[in-house]
Amino acid sequence: MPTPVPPPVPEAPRPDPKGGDATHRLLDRPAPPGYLEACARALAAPLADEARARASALAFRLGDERFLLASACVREVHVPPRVHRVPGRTNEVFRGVVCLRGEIHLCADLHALLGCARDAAAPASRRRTVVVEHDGERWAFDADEVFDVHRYDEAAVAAPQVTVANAAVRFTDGLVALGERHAARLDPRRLFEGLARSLA
Amino acid sequence: MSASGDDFGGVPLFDLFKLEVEAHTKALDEGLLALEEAPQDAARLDALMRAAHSMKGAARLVGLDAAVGVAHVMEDVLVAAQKGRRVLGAASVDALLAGNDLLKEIVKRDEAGAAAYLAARAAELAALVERLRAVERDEGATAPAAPAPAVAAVVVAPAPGVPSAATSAPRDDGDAAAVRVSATGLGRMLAYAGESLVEARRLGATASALDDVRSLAGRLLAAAEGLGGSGGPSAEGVRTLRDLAAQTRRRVASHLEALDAAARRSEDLAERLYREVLKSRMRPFGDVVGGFPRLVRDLARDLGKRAQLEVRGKDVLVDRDLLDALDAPVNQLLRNAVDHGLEPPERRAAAGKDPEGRVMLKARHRAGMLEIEVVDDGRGVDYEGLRRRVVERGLVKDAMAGELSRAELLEFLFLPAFSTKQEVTEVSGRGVGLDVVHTLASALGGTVRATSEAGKGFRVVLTAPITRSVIRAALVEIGGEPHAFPLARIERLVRVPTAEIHAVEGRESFAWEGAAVGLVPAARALGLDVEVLARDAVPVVLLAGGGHLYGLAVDRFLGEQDLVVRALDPRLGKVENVAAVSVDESGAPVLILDVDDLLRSVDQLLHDGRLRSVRVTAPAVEASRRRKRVLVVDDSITVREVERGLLAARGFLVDVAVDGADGWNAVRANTYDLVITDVDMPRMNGIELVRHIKQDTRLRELPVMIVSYKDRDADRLAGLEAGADAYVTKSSFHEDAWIGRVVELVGEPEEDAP
Repeated sequence: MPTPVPPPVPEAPRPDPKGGDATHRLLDRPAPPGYLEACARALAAPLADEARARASALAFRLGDERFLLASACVREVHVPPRVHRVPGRTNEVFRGVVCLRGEIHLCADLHALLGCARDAAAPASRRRTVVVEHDGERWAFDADEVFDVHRYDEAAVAAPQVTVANAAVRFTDGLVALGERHAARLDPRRLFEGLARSLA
Repeated sequence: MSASGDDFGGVPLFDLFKLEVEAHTKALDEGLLALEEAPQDAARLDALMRAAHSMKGAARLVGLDAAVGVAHVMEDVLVAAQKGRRVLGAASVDALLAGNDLLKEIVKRDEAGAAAYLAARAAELAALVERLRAVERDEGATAPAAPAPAVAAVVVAPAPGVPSAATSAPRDDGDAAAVRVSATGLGRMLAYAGESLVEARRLGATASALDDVRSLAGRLLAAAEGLGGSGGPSAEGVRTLRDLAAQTRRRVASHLEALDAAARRSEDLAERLYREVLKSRMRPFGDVVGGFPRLVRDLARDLGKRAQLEVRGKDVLVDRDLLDALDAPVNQLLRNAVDHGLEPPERRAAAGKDPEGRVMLKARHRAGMLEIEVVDDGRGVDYEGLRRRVVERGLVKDAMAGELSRAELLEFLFLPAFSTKQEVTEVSGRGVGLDVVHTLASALGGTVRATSEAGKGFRVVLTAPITRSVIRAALVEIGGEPHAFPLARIERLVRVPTAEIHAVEGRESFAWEGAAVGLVPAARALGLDVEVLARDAVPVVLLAGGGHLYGLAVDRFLGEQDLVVRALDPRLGKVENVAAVSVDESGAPVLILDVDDLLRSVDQLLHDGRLRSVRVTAPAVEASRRRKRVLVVDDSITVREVERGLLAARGFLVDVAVDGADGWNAVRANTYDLVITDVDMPRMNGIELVRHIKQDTRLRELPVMIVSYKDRDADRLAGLEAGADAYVTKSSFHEDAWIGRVVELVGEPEEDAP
C-alpha cells in the first residue's frame, strides 16, 4: 500500500555558535538561473483540476486495463495471501477463502468477472490483494498492480464506451482520465451483485 | 407467595424475570401486529404461543400468580388459533395486546411494586382474563369472514425475510450481541494485552542492540583485510582478529539468549491472553441453574407434591452460547420430572418412598461432551400404558407395538404433541414438552436419551458439545490445502503400505483389523481435482459411520492442533462436506470437514460409483425409457427402508438421505423427480429442506412430499406454507394410498424420454 510521505519539515535556523555561516551561506546563495521565473509561472497558472477533484477512488490494474473503485469501498490492500478452495463452490470467479490479519474473506477473481486478461508478465511483487466492502458485504480480490488513491472531478467522468466488447462494461458506470489513459470506474452495486452471483 | 430477596447464583431472580418478559412481550407486540395481516401464519402462531408459554413459566417462578393467569389465557387463545378453531381478528389481537401491555407494565416495576400493581388492579385483571376467555370461546363466530380455504389446497410461498421461530436456529445473535465478562477476567486480559505491548517494544530495543554486533563484524572484516598485506599475516594481526572473533561470538550468544527469552515470554503471553479470551466465553453451569431449585419447589407445591432439587456439577464450564440455549430444555425437563414423574406424597409413602420426591440435575464433561442429566425418583414410565397410547394415537399398528422395545417406546415421548398425561395442565403438557427438548438438543448438535425403570424413576440424559468455539482437530493436506477433521470424529490415522491396497472392480480397499475397509481419495470425496501421488504408503484417515469403517486417503498428515471454529461466510450457504473454517498456525485458512456429510459422500462413491459409471457409459440403451428417481429423506432407518421398498416395488429408482442437510446436498448433486421427506430430523429439518428447495431457482419445480408423525393442522399448514406439494401423516399412512399420491405427483415411474 503506498504510504503518503510527509513533506520534510524545515528546521528552524539554529544560531550558529561561530557567528557564521555554513547554513546561512547555503540559504543565501543565489537562485539558479530561470528558477524564479519557473516558480512564478507555476503560481500564475490557473488552478489545476485537483482543486475541483472531490471524488476519490482507488486505482488499480487488471491485465492491461485500469479501474477505479470508490475509496469508500476500499478496506485494505495487502500482499496476496494463500487462497483456500472451497469444495463444490470454487468456480471461475469465486476462488475460495483467504485469511487476512486473522479475518476470513471470500476471494474473487476479478479478472474472470470483468473479462480481463491476466498479466502473466507482471512481477509478482507488484500484485496486491484488495479488500472491498459495500452494503456490509466484503470481498477480496487480486489486482496486478495497485496505484494509489486517485482524486478526480465528478463532472469530468465520461460515459462508458458501450462499443467495447468487454464484460467489464456491465460493471462500469463511467470513464475517468488517469494520466494519459482512461480508467473504468466500477459501480460498487453492480460489482457486488456480480460477485454475489458467483456464489449461486 | 413472594420471592422477596430471593437471589440465586448472585443474580436476583426478579431481574431474570424482567429480562425474559421484556424479550417475549417485544416479540408478541411485533408478532401480533403481523398476525393481523396474516392470521394463519402457523410458524408465527407457534412462536407466539411459545412466548406466552415461557412468560407463564417465568411469572410462576417469581410468584406473580395474577400474571401467570393472564399469560395462561393468552396462550390458550393462541393455541385455539393454532388449532384452527379461531381466526384471530382485530378484536382478539386487541385483547391479546392488552394482556401483553399488562405484562409490560409489571416488569417496569421492582418486585414489590409489581406485586402491589397487580393487587391494586385485581378487578381490571379479572376483566382482562374474562375478555381473553371470551375471545378464546367465541371469537370464531364474530370473526370477520376470513376465507378458510381447504387446508390441503393452500400453498403459500413463505414471506421473504420473515423469520420463523419454529424452524430457525434457537439463537441468532447479530453483531451487536453483548456478552458479560467478569471484571477480573477483563482485568487479566487487559494486563496481558498491556504486557504484550511492552514486550513488543522490548523486542525493538533488542534489535537495535544488534547494532554493536554489526560494528564488531565490521572491525573484524577490516582486520581480516589488513592481514592480507605483503609478508603474510603478522602475529599481532592474527591475535587482534582472534580477539574480535571471540568478542563477536560472545555478543551474538548473549543477544541470542535475550531474543530466545523474549520469544518465550511473548509466546507465553499470547497463550495466556488467548486462553483468557476463550475463558470469557465460558461460564460455570451453576450460572444457569439459579432459578431451578425455586422452580421445582414452587411447581411441586402447586401440584400438591413435595420435591427437592439437587444440583451437581455447578462448576462445570460451558460455552456461554450453549448455556443460554440449555436453559429452555433443562427447564422443560425439570417441569416434566415434577409434573409427570413425581407421585403425590401419600402415594410415595404407600410405595415405601420418602414422601418428598428428589429431582437431580447433574452436569459433567464426558468424552469431550457436556452431559446433563435430569433424574427423578418418581413413578417412572408405565411401559404398557405407553404402548397402548402409541397404538391409540395411531402411530404404530397394534401388532407392531407389541414388538417395540423399551428404548423404542421411550423414543415416542420425544415426538411432538405426544403427552402421556391425559389432561392438559398449566405446568407442562400440550406438546410444549419433550419434543422441544429434542429439537433444541439437535439444534445444538447434541442428543437426548431417556431411560426409566417402572416405579423407580425417570432419567433423561442430554448430551451437547462443551463449546462450539474450539475443537481439537487433526490437520491433513488434501489437494495441496490444509483441512481439519474434528479429533472426536476420527477412528484412527494410519499409513497403509501401497502394497496392501487391493483394487477390485475399480474400488480400492485394505484390510484393517480383519475387515476390508473401502478407500477413497479424500480429494475425490470433496470433488477436488485428484492428483495421484506415487508413494510407498498412503496416509489414511479412518472414519466410522453406520457401523462401517471408511478410509479417506489424504496427501499427508500435518499434525494435531486446537482450532478456533468460525462459521463459514453465510453467503456460501451450507457447503457440502464442510462444517466450518479456521486459521492454522501459519495464518492460512483451514476448512473443518463435516464428517457426517463426508461419510455419505464416501459411501456414495464406494457404492454408487459403479452404477454411476454404467449409467455414464450406456446412456443410449436407456435413452428411450427413463425411470424416475425419488429421494427419501428420513432419519429413521425403518421408515426409510419401508418407503424405499414400496417405491422400488412400484418401479421407481430410489436414493436415501439420513437428514435434511444430507437431503439438501443430494438434491443439488443429483436430479430427482420427487423428494419425500420427514419433518423432525437433526441438522436440517424437513420444513427447512422444503424451503431451501422451493427457494432455489433450479429446484423450485421439484415436487416435495412431507411424511410426518406431526398431525396437527398447524404442522400441516407449516409444511404446505414452506412449499410442500403434499403432506401425509404417518398415523394415516396407508401403503396403496400413499403410492397413489406419489404417482399423482410425478406420474408413472417410467416414461418415454422427451
